[in-house]
Amino acid sequence: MTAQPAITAHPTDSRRRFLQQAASVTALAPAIGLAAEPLGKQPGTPLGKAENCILLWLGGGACHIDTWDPKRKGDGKKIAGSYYDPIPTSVPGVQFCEHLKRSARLMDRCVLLRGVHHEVIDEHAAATNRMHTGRPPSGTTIYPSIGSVVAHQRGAEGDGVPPYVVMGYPSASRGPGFLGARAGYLYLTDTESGPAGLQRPAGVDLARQARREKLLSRIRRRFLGKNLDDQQVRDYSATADLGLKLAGPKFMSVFDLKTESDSLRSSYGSEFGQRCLLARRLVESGVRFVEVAFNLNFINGTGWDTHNEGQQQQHRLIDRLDQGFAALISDLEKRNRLDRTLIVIASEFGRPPEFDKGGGRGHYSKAFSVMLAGGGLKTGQAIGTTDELGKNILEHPVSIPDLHATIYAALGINPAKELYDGVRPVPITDNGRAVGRALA
Amino acid sequence: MTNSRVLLACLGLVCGWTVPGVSSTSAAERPGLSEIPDAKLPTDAVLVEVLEGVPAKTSWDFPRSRPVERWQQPEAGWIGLPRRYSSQGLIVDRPSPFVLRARSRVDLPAGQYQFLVRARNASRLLINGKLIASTGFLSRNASGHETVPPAVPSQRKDLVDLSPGHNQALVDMTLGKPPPGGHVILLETFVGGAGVRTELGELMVGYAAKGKPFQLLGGDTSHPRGLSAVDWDRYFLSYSLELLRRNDERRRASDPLERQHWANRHDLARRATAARPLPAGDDSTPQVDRWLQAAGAIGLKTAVVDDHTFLRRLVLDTTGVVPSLKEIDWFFARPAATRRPDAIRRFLADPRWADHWVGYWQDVLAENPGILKPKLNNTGPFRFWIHESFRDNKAMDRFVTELVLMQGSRYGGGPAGFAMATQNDVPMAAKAHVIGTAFLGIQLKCARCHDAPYHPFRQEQLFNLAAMLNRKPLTLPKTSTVPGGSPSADSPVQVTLQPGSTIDPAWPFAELARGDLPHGVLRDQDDPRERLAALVTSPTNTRFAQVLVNRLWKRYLGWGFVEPVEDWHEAKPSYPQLLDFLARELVRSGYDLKHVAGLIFGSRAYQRPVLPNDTASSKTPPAAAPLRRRLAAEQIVDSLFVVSGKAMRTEYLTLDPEGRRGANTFLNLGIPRRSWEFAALGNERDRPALALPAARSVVDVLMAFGWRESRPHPTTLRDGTMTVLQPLALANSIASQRTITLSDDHVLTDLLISELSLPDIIERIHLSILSRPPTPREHADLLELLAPGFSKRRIKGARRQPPPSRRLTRVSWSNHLHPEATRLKLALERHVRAGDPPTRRLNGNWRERAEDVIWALVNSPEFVFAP
Repeated sequence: MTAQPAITAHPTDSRRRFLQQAASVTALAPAIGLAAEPLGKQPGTPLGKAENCILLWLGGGACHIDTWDPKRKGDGKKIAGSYYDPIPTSVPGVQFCEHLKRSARLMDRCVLLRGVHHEVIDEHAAATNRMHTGRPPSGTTIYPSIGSVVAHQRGAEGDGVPPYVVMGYPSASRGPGFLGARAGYLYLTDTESGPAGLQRPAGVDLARQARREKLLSRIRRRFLGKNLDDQQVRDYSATADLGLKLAGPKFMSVFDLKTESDSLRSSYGSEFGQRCLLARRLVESGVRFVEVAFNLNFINGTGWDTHNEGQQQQHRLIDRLDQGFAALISDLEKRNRLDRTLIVIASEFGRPPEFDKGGGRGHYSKAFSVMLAGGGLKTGQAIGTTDELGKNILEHPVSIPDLHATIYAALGINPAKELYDGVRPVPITDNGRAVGRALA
Repeated sequence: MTNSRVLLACLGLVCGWTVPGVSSTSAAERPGLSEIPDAKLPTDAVLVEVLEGVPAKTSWDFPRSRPVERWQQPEAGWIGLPRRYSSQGLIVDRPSPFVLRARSRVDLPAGQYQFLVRARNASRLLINGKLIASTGFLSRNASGHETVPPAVPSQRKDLVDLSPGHNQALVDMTLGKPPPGGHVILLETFVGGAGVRTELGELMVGYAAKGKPFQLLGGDTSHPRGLSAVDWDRYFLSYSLELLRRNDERRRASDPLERQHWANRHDLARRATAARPLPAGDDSTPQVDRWLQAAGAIGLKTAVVDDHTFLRRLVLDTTGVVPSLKEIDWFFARPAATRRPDAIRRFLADPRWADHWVGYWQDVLAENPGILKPKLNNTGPFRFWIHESFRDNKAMDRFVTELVLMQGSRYGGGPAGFAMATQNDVPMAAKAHVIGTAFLGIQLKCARCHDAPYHPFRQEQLFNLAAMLNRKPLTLPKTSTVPGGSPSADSPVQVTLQPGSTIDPAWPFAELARGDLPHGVLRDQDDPRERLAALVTSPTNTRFAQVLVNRLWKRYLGWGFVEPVEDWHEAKPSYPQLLDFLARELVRSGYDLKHVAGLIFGSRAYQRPVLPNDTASSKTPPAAAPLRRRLAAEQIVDSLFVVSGKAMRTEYLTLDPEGRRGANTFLNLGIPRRSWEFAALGNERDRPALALPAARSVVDVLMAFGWRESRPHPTTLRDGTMTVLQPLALANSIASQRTITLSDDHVLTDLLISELSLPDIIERIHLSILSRPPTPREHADLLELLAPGFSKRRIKGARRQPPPSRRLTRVSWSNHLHPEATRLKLALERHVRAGDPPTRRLNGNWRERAEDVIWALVNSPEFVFAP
C-alpha cells in the first residue's frame, strides 16, 4: 500500500512515455555509415567551414617550453628553463624550440594557443579525461569526448565509413559517454594491420570469405523468413551487411599505405608520421574525426612524460612530431584540403621549467600550449603569452571549455547548443567561449 | 601433551580439504589454534597454516604465533589463497604481512635430489629442521623506470619456466635414510608487507630424484604431479576451481549466527505478509498464468515454444550461457511430461546462476573498480561479494542490508568497496542515488545537484538519505549544486538547498515505510545506516519487494509491469494483481529470488514464442509473452567460450603482476573465467607497455554489445543501439576467432576427429551452437560443404599442441617505462592477434571448411537474439 508523493504540475506521462521509448530496445538506424544531417545554426557565433578534424595526441604531458613556447635556457639540473635553443618561425615574433624546424616554416598555416590551462595536474588519467571531455567527471553520467561530439553532430562524410577513428588505445575518455554507441569510435593500435577485428583474420583469403558469406547468407535468409514481422531482426541483418562492407576491400584499402609513393611516405617519416599519413587518407575517405596518439614510448622510454631520464632523448620525439606534422600540413595543402581539415596538437598538461633529480620534469597545467592548424582558421598568429619561464599566463587565457568551443565553431558546430542525456540538457561545452580571434 | 589436547589437535585435522578453524576477531584477541606437532603431520598431504602477528620488516627474526587458519591440500603448490570471511560471511582482509606455513612428512628414499622453491616473497624451506633453501624479500616499487628482468628459461623440459616476478632457490642435496615417520618438510613464506598487496603469486615446492623428473612435493607419491609447463598449466586450472569450492565451504560455515538472525527476520516477514488468494481456476495451471488468465491476457490454449527453444531460453536465463551438448542430451533423456520442470529445478540449482547475475548488479549498483590509480568515480571490487551472495542464493533483504552497511574488505571484494567513489565530492550522496534507484524505484539522479525537475524529490531528501549512510550530518558542498541557484522562478530546475547547509540523517520516504520497526530487526538502535537498511528491506515496505519482482519479470520477459524499472513515480503497473502476488511470494519465501524465478519459468507466459519488440505495436497492458531482444554482451561472449570449451586465457587483470604496489593504487582482479570479471583496462595514458591485449580482445566484443567498461553511475538498461561493430565483432574479432579456429583445446575438434558419422557430426555442431538440430535443408547445406574429403580428414600421428598462455609477462608497472617493456607488449599484441594455432590432427582444407560452418552458425542472427 503505497501513497504517491504529491504530483507536480509537469506533464509526467509524456515524459514517462519518452523515457520508455528512449530506453526500448527497438532498432535504431545503424550508427556508422549514414551521412550527416544538414547543420542547424544559431545566431551570434561565427561558425567555420572545416569538415574534418585530426587530433594529434601527445600522451604523457608534452613540455610547452621545450616545444611551442620556448624560454631562456636552463641547465637540466638546478637552473630552470627550456632545454633547447629557440628558433624563429615564419611568423615574426613567434619562436619554437630548435627541434621543430619544419613546423617553424609552416607557422603561417597555424594558430598557436599559448594560454591554455586547467587545474588537473597530478594524475594522467584524470587530466586526459579533462582534455577530452572538457569537464570534471560526474557521478551521474559519463560525458562524451570531443571526437564523439563531433561524430554525433556531423556524422561521417559518406556511407560505409565510420565517423570517428582512434589510432591509439581505447579508453573511456575517448568514448561517447551518454551520446551512446552511434558516437563511438573504431580503433587501431597498429597501422600495419588496421583496426583489430575489422578486417578478415589472416588465413581467410577472398575465396574463403566468399564461401563463408555464401553459407551465412543462406542461413540468414532462412532466419529472416521465419521472422518477417520483426524489425529488430531485419535491422540486425542490414547492419551486418553494412559491417561486411566496412570490412570489405573499399574501406579497408584506406589502410593500405603501400599505394602511396615511397617519397611521400618517407617525407612523413617514422611510425608516427605514417599514422599522420593514414589520418589524411581516413579524412579523405569521409571519416569526420581522427585521433592519432603519439605513444611510441620505446623511443625514449617514457614518451612525453619526461620525468627523470626520459628528458634525455626527448628531442627525438620532438623531431618525429615535427616531421609528421609538417608533412601532414604540406600534404593536405597540396591536395587542397588544408582549409577544410582542422589539425589540433594537444597533450594532457605541460611541464614546469624546473628539473627533477633525474634531470627531467614533473607535471604543470596552469599554463601550456595547444597548436591548431588549417581548418579555415585565421592562421599565422600566436594567441596568448606566458611569463619568462612559462608558468603564468599574461594574456588571453584559454580554458579547456574555451578550447572545445573553438574547435566546435571551426567545424561549424554551434558552441552554444545543448546535447541531451536522456531528458537532461547538457551544454555542449561547460560555459566555453570560442576564441574569436582564431576564427575567420 | 594431554589426551584432551591431542584430541583437539586431531579434531583440527580432518582428511582432505578441511574446514578451517578460523576466528573472526583480530590477531591480538585471537587465541589461535593449537599447534600440531611434527609427529602428527600428514604423510599424503600438506598441512597449510596462516600465522599472523608478523612485523612488517624484511626479517625472519620474530616469534612465531599460533596459527589462526589451517587446512590441508594434496600438494605443495599454490596459485592463490582461499578467502577469509567474517562472522557475517563477508570477505575480510588478512593483516599485511602474514606468513603462510606448509608442512608435510615425506618418505623419500635416501639418495641425491634437487629441491626447488619458487616464491614471490621471502621463503624458507627446512628439512628435518635444517634450512636448505631460501628466497629473498619482495621490495616495494615506486617508479616505472626499472629495467625489464631477463627471461629465466628452465634448463629442463620437465620443469616449467620461472614465472616473472618470482625468485627460485634450486639446491642439490643428498638425503639420508628417512627418520621414522618420514622426513619433515617445512616451508614458510611471507605474504604482503609494507605497501604491497597481500597476494601470494605462484608458490611451489618441488623436487627431483637424480635421473627422475621434477614433481610437486607432497601428495600421493604413487601419483606424482609433474612440474612441466603443461603440468603446471593444468594444476593452475584445477587449483583455481578448487579455490572456488573452498571459498564456498569456508563462507557457508562462517556465519551461523547471522543465518539465525535472518531466519528470524523472515519469520517476522511471513507473519506480516499474507498470501494473496489465487483467482478461480484450475490447480494444474501455473499460478502466474492464473493471474494472467483472470486479466484476459492468456488463454487455455496459448501455444508454448518447442523443447529445444525452451531449453536454450531457460539455460541462457539461469546460467547466462547456451546449453552444452551434455546438457541437451540430459534434457531429452528425461520423460517428455516432466522434462521442463526437471530442467527448471536443475538449472536453478546450477552455480552459474551467480555468474549470470553479477553483470546485472554491477550496472545497477555502479560497481566500478579501477585497476590503476583509480580517480574516476571508482569503487572497490565488490563484484566478488555480489558473486558469492548469488552463489549462496542469499536472501535479498540480507543482500541489501549488507550492501548498505558497507562492511568487510574494501579492496578485496567486500561490500565496503561500495562505500568508495573516488574523486566524488559526496560519495554517500552517490550511494543514496544508487540505493534509491536500485531498490525503491526512486529516481534521485537529478536531485544530486538540485531539486528534481520532473519528480517530487528535493535535493534535501537525497542528502537526508546520504546523511543516514554517512552516520552523521552532511554539509552541502558548492560542487554539488547549480552555480547561481535556481535559473529562474519558473524554471523546472529549482535549488532550495544552499551550499554550506547542513543536512541531517532522516528517512524522507515515510509513505514507503513507516519509521517504527518491529523489535529484533535492528541490532544497533543508534546506527542510522542500519536503520536505513531496515527501512528499505522492511516487509511493510511493499515497494522494495515489488521493485525486485518487477526487475525479475523485466529480465525474463523483456518488459516490466512498471517501466522504467528504476522510476516508480506515478507508475501505473500493468497486471497489478500479478505484481502484488509475486511480491508477496518473494517476501513469504524469505526474499528468495530463485523461488519467484521458478514461478516465472514455469509459466506459459514465459514459455510462449517471442513477440517482436515494436513500439508501434506496443499495447497497454503489454502482451503476456516474452519480447524479442538481443542477448546481453556477457551472454554472447560467455556462450562463445562454451561453444569452444576453451578457457579465456587472458593476462592477469593487473598492471602490477609483480605485486609490488598496494591495493589502493593497483588491483589484481585475477584471470577471468566469465565476462563479469573484466574491468576497465585503464590505458588512459596510451602506453603500449600498459596494454593487456588478450583481455582487451574480449572487452572489445563485450563493449560492442553494450557492456559498460566504466560504471560511474547506476543504470539498468544498457545502450541498445545497433552498430556495425556488433556483427563485425562476431565475424572478425580476435575473441570470436578463438571459437572458430579449431585448435587442439576446442571441444569440437575432438568431435570432428571422433568416429561419428558425418550426419551425426553436423547435427552435433548445429546443436552446440544453436541448441537445435538442423532442418533437412540446413543439413543439406552443411553436408554439401563438409562431405568432400570427410573420410580422409584425420591426419595420423599428428601431435596435439598445447594452448598458449598469456599469464606470465616480464612487464610490470615497475619497468613499464623502459623501451624493452614497450617492445615486449607490442610483441604480445601481435601474438594475440595471431590467435590459437589450428590443430594438425585434421586435414587443413577440410578443417577450414568446418571452421567456416562454425563461423556461419555463430554469425547467424539466431545466435545473438534471445530465443
